[in-house]
Amino acid sequence: MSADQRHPSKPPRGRAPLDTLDKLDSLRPSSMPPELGELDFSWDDDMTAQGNRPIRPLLSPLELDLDLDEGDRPTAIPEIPMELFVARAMAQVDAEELEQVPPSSTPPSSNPSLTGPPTMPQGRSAARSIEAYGPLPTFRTSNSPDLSLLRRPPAPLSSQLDPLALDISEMDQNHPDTYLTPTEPPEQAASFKSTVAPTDDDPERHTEADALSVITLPPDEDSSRPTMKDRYAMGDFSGALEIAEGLLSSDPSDLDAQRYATSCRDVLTQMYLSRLGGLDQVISVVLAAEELRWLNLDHRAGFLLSLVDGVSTIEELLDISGMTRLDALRILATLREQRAILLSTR
Amino acid sequence: MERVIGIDLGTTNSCVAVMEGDAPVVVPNRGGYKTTPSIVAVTEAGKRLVGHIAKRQAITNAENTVYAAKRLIGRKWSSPQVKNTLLASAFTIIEGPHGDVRIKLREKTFSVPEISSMVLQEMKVIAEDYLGGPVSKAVVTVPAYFNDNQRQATKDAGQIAGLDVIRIINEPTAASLAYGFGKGFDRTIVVYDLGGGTFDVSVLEIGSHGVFKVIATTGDTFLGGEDFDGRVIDWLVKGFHEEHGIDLRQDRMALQRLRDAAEKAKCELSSVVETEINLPFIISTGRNEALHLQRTLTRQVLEELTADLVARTIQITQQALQEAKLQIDEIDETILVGGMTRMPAVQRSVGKLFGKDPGKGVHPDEVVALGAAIQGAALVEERHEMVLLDVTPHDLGIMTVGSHFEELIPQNTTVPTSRAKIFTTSRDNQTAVKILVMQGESQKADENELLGEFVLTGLKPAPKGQVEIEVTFAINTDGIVSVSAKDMETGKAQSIQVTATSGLTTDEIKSMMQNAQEYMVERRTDEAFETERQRAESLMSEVESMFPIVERVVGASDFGRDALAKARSVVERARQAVQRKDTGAVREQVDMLERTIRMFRGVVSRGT
Repeated sequence: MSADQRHPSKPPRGRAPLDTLDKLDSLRPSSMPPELGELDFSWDDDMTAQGNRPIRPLLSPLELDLDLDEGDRPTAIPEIPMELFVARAMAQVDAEELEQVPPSSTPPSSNPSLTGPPTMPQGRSAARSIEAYGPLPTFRTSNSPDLSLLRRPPAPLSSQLDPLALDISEMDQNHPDTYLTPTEPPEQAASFKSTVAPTDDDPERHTEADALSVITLPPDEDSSRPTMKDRYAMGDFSGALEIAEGLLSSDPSDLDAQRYATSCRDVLTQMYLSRLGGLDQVISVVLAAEELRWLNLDHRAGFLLSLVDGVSTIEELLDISGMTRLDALRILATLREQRAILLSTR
Repeated sequence: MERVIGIDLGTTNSCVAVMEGDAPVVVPNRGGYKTTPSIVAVTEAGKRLVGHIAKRQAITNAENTVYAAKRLIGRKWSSPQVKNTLLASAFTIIEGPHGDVRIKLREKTFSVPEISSMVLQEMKVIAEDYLGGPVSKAVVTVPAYFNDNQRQATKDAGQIAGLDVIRIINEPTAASLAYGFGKGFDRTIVVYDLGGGTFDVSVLEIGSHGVFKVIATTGDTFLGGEDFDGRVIDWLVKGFHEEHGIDLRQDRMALQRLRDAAEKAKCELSSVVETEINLPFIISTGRNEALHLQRTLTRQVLEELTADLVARTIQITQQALQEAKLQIDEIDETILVGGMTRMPAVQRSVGKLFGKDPGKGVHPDEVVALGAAIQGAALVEERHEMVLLDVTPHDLGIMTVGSHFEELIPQNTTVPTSRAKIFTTSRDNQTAVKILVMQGESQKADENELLGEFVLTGLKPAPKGQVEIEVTFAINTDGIVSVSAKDMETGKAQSIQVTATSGLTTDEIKSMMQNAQEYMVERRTDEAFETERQRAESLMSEVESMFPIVERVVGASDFGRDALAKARSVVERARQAVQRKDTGAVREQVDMLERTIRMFRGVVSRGT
């Protein structure tokens, strides 16, 4: 525990805290159980000072106060490397800024004529895209903060939910965590409006199953296409590719989706290749088998690692991996970030 | 004098050897391995993979990976062996235009000799890299039981690969040649060859005057090291299923890793008594976690798992001895061939059968290729005392009444040769006879292979047995069999020529040769560019690292600025040449870069 945490009332020292990150940290749910809130954080401090310091319980997301001072709130160690966490946060903010850019930032080929593949977006989105910070498009996990909270103040409950879209009155009040509650981030709550097609005007007939189905409904195609283009324009090629592939799975002849998918794959391939240093790089595993187990890998990464022999190049590995080049390159780039592999010239 | 290479074109692994002075040596491939898997694959991008790299993706790209093509070479689509292979292969086998076998890889169809030619081409490249020059002649080994068509198909494969196959020799003969070469003794030996995919056992007589005679040969074309690996895989899969309730066979990536690990563990257990199989992240559970496989396999367990396989090889060996009409105590020596014979349980079992330890004077993986290299050198050096003679691999004869097979030329007869036999009519007033030319060892004609047929007409009507017909078989030095039938009374004659065929026409072979040559040109061009590119990039990096020093030393002078500008220009031109993939331009820039470095070094040495 840092000194600042042990002295919550103490003003922050050194540089002025970055507003974004401070708020980000404050939003991060603690991984510690609530009982730890009863702990006396000043147990090793001077006895004379102890009486002046109130014991603060750990904050739950329900008690968020974005105006809290850095020293007033508890923190948890991020589950991803701090630099990556910061980079993603910055990228997310950048992306939000780009959303404000006029329609000229849409991909050049997004006109209805469908002539020619989409090309790399120009300007800031190309120079500093989300992809430049990390390959993983799905940033938000169940226990990580939603960065969208950073760019707007918490909206009042009445504005977060559309009563026509979701009636929560029927939900089991004994298990409020079963459902989305008003404490959910506004963006996600608002998304119900666009994904739920009311089938019954009588709100009394909504059941628990209905509520769950609301949560799991896939985004409809009408919203997917613009989202794909937006993501592409913002430089979120992984996200755009994911949507394009989704569209192609329902309609393989969708030319627009094909062009976006191809272009995204090309850009992502180049991106990963530039991170890896080229196809002729020889890959070696630098971690011992027991150290590898500590990494959070999936079986595909495990398989790729098993092919690494210290002699084969990336090109050769791609040939024998049996995966698509993009998948294999993405995994290799991640393995490199995790310092599981070393690349060198032959 | 041109060097002749000896190639052991195996079912699962191939090996190439060459004579160095008076001794044959095996040539390692680029990875340093002395054997190369006889596996060919085509990737999604259409790239051809041969050898180890093809093996490493054999399961994840099973539909486009051909292994054990040797089981299909020279066979007709209708043969039972092809039907068996169809059941066991993941790749697509289809019928060719001449009743032969074709293999579909991605969108292209290949003949079996074409697939084998890719392996032979790889062996040729390995030898050329080692010898530093082109190689065009080879001696290639085949199993002793290969018929004429299979031998011809192997020759065609060599031709497609750009090799003149000057002799095809039997694998056990090659092994015994390497074993008995220059020893000058008369011995009866057993060659026990347990390879990756097949088991062959041959009984041979080695004569002191360079006579190597195969007395009997038998085996199982679906028994080999892969079956031993399969037992280890089963054991691992079963254990994992018991522990986690997951069947690893359902995941190709997991299965590929299991296969590699099983083979590695099996090999290790030939020298140690236990080994650990460690496969982290072998499979994902679907709950955002991956499971690891870690087990210890002991030699004892491996032997228990594979005991029946070893027992089967012993049973086949006993069968070979029976066919050779020899008792165990008449066998002077046993030669072990094939990587699987390193397994202590195999050695123990063979030793127990023959009452003495098998010979260990030969390398099991290399001995066949070494024998082929010895034979190749003997052929071009015209050392007749060591030259093996071509022999007929099977009995040749005709079908007689009652579907019996009547042998005219027995197996292992040295060619050229000619034999004749008198036959009579089998019915009263028979005016025509049909001659069915066959090859094989069975007394029943329908169990042998039909090579051709013709009809002799115009016989004089007479009671059965009265008309005599002389049937003559002749084989010339090229292996072409001529069969003629002559009515002894009238002198009327009819004949047929039987030429071994691989199922490919001359035009097809020419076209395949052209494709193979184009592939080689492309490959060599790529390799040349890659060499120059690596050299250029290394030099560019060196020049760039010297810029700050040179700038500090002479950057203030006109000469210095000029030199630095020129050097930067050279680096830029080299970079552009690399990007254009222009080998010639890269080579030119390499020279310029070297001169730049020399100049910079001079500047730096004066400056310091």
